[in-house]
Amino acid sequence: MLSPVVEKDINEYYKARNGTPAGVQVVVIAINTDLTSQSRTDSFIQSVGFDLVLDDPEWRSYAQFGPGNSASRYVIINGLADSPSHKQWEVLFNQVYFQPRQPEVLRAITETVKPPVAAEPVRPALGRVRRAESGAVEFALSGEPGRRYHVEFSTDLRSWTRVATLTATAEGTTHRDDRAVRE
Amino acid sequence: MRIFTLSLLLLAFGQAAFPARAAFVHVGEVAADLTLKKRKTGETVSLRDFAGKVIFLDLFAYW
Repeated sequence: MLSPVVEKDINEYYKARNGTPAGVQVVVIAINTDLTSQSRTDSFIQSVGFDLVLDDPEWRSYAQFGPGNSASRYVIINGLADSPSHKQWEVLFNQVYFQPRQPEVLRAITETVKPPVAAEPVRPALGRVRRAESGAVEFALSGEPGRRYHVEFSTDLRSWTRVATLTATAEGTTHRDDRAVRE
Repeated sequence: MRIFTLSLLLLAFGQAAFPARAAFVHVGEVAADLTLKKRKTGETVSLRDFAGKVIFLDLFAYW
């Protein structure tokens, strides 16, 4: 029974590091498939120190993943949606045994799961600056739709004055500054 | 003859307890949801409740 190895070298290992180096959280779920010897099972759970134990008296887990060898089976599943490395709920490991002295093999498999890549933020940009006949200045702003942007001006790059606060749209936003006539 | 009978019984039990091997989920395939109860509280928990994490299942029985 390799449960103590799983608890120490997988559960405690990733809890101490707040997940994998890529920032993926790992949860260990112990599934008890025998309800005939409750007190012995409870003693075993306590000795191993499992965080989370589910009871499976109908052997649904064995029916899905395969029977156990001396009742043990170890399965690693990716629960991340939009991971670039694996499908969500893809099985990464499914065996009745692993080398107890090589938990790093299990960790290496666990750490093949990459988190979703965050979309690059849209950089705001000013464009189409033009002066109207009245002297007013018009300019266009593009940015992430729905996000608010402050537009400021400066004559010395030290002190800045706000000209407008604009909310970007998918089509781009145009602003007209009539104060340019006076200033 | 006894051995043969025992073999047949084991085969029959095996067939009843588990689906054909091809029905098991293998590496690279997608696991179906699995709903069980927490031993401590009896609260129902599903694999899908752990979306966003890598899930390590330790199937065990301690006789």
